[in-house]
Amino acid sequence: MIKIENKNGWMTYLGCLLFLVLTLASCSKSDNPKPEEGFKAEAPWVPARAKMLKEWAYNYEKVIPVNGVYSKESFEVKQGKAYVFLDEKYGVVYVVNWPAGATHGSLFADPVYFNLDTRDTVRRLDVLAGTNDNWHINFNNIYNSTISVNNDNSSFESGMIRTIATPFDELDQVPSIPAGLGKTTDLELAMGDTGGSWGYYIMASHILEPYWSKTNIIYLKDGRRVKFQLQNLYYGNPKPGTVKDKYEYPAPFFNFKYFIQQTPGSSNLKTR
Amino acid sequence: MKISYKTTITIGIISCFLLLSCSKDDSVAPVEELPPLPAVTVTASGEYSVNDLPGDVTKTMDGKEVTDDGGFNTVYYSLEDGRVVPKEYANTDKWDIAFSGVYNSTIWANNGSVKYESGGSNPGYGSPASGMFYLVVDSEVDAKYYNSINHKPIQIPIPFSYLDEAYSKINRVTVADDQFNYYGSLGLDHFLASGNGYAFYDFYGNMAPGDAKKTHVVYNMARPFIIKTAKGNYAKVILYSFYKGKPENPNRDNVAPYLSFKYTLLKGGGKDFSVLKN
Repeated sequence: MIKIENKNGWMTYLGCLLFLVLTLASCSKSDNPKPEEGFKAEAPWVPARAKMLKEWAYNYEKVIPVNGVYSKESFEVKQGKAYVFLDEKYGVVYVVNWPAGATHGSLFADPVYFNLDTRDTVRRLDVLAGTNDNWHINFNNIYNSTISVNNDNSSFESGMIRTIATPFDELDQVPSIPAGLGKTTDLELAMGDTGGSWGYYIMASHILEPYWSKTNIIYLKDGRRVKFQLQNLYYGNPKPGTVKDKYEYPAPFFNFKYFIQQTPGSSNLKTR
Repeated sequence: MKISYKTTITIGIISCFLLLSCSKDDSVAPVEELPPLPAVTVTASGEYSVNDLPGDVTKTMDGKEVTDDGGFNTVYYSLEDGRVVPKEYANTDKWDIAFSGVYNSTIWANNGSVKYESGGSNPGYGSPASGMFYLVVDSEVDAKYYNSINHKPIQIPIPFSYLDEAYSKINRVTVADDQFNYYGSLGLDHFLASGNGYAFYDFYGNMAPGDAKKTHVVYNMARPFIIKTAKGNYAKVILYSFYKGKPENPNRDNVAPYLSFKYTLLKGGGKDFSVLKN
């Protein structure tokens, strides 16, 4: 509790100044990127200094509301663009609006296998045929919302994915593993707003709500650790809490960022 | 972020008001009084039934509000005393089982030590209790109604007689405490972030195609569980229904959440439920 001596006006003033500084500091720190200077025009959550590694165009269906009602029958075909950026300053990779395929709303979407080193997908049929195991994570299940880690069970850590209640940029270290923590290799959506996942499912509206205040840590088979945040499965990466309808934004389109600590076993995840 | 000088001043003034109002309200904090507890209805070991215990019936998932994530208030229940316990007692050892989340369908034992790195905590976080639970998966009974490969019932409804059968077969607590789950919660079977659970949630109505009233219906499975109470005693529990009137074959017309369950409690730390049979 802050206590202010009202008799001493200057103390109140100092307190106000301190409060003001704290307020401003927290504002500038916790605010999510806005389409302002310092960020990419193509993706207002990617720093402007990041280098574009990949870009390609595709068509997607955008639902157009009729009298405020969103229905899949009413849509326009639009051109979308996917990007991969690399922020060389901190080694953070940004994947923007990567289409998961024509899986909108399907219960059993085909898994999408992703290699974090090559920053590219791996052909699903090759994985299923057993001819290519060179992937790190795959996105599967409803709306490709489950993150599964390539796992050889060689250790407790291998293939594990953890959820830490710390924003991506503020997570500097891999926290020690708390007693009682079970091994999770398939991270599914949570059901409530306090869940341990990348996001949760709003039952009433069927909207996917990401936790931008949480970060995942992925343990690769080779001992490297990855700081990872799935920001959105909605095209355009809308801010949590702003999505009005389950069909307002096309899904699933991957929007995620990650940092690979290249030294196996190292807990350093600092990207600021 | 760009902040103009004017904004700065405005914020400064506002924060001054905030501070002033802080200092004004800084009177002596009243001693928090806990609300009275309902009467004790259980004083001895034995089998007890609880029917139509209201969950948070003020909430519904039928609402169309975007911001509606359910927001169901947690219900706390004392198996030892046979009564609902007000939420003000959450961090005490006065309750043994809590029902939280959507339709109060997430089940917790009272464990004061559990706080998650992902945010959130056991509803009893801070209590002196070391409660935990163990879900009993009886593959013989399961085989009668459940496909353990695709994690779906073979048919609906799941007769209550199967639930009773699995419950009755638990004669004693055979698992050691270190096999119990103290860290997590017990939820729906293989739905989103869950493995084995105690109920099947037919999200898409796949069990009754074409019947819109059969979507989003919960069917309780023959999956009893053992609760270690806040006092350290064991109870076996079978949860029959989330719907008012305990319908065996519920649909969307049934009102939820009203919890109906049965339990056998062993006071005094015993593990043998069969001593109570007669």
